[in-house]
Amino acid sequence: MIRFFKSTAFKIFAVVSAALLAGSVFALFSRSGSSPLTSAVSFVFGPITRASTYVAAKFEDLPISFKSSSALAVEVDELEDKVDSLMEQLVDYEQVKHKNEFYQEFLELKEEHSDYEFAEAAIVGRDAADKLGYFTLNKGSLNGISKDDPVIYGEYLVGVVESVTPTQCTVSTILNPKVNVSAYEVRTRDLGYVTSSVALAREGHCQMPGLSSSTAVTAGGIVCTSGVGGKFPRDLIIGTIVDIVDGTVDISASAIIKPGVDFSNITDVFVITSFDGQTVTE
Amino acid sequence: MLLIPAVVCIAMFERDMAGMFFGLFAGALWDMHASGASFNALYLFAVGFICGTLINTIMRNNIVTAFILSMVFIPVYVVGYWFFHYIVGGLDMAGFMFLRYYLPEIFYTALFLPLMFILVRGIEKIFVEE
Repeated sequence: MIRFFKSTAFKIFAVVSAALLAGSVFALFSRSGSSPLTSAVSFVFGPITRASTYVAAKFEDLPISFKSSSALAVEVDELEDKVDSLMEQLVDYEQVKHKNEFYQEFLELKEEHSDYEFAEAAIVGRDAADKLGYFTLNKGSLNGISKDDPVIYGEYLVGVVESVTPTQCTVSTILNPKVNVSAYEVRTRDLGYVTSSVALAREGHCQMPGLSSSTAVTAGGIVCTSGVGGKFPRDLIIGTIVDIVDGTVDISASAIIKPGVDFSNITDVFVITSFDGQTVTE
Repeated sequence: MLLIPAVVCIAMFERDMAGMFFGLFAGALWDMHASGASFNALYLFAVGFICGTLINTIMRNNIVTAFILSMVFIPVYVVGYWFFHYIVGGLDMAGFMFLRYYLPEIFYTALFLPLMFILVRGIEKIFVEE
């Protein structure tokens, strides 16, 4: 046993483990939420991740065709070439159309809120172990992104930056029960906060608890960020109320909200890196 | 999650030193898309070291051992992840989520172990013959 503890492998294991633990503790208390190792690895391998995401996206766009070896092969090939060409044009058109819509919403938002500063980012990964809405973006602190920055899609709130490395960051969506957003209902001006639970997140919903049992809030109402607390800017759309349910432990009611964005389908988002009234945590 | 049996198999064939550094590398890549706090790197580093050391000292290098080691390290990771996120985090439906998602995940991951073992053994043979 003593020989084992004196072995080179064990000594290396102990030293590296201690360094990793120190890095993990550092991450828990640091402003970025990332350990030095994760920052270094994402800096080195971030471009490879982005390249693989790009290649995967290109492969998804490729039309797959099976060629016949019969006498009609030549004719089939010609027709397939035409179809491929048209498919490529269609894919290009759809991509440009999507980008156009994306930037149009961004432009409207930028015109409405000139104080916002943005970083455009693409989703490059999702954590396999997580089931509650969590993804990785291809931009990090080098692009001005900090922990707790709001993430949006058009005028809709997507989530918040949870940890950041120089070249990428991870985002928790508003479906994650750990995320709380101060909010208000547009018609009645009822104030509260939006959060979620595992049960609601599985259905793609979040909730606004603590409403008075006699609340005038009804299904169809729109819930926006209130800006209270300085973490999120005011008037970002969170979603639409689909139901009002009574609380299980007290006489309050909760509004069940369907977020305005389908988080599983978005590929590009904007991170608001600065806005008037933002609280900067040190 | 397949990284766990991959690290187990590679550590079994390459032993403690290569095993733990492969684990560290694999875990660091995993952390790029996870919490960012290097927990995966730390865990896979330890898995590589433990597996390599056990094969060096008291265990045989075969598929049964690989299965036993994987069925220890996969559940430890999955249950640990679930415990710290759902129980310590105070989330609702923890039991349901474990039975519906995390428990099946253990078995789905273990299903790929023979394939992983054969693949690593094949690559090892190619390099040894060279």
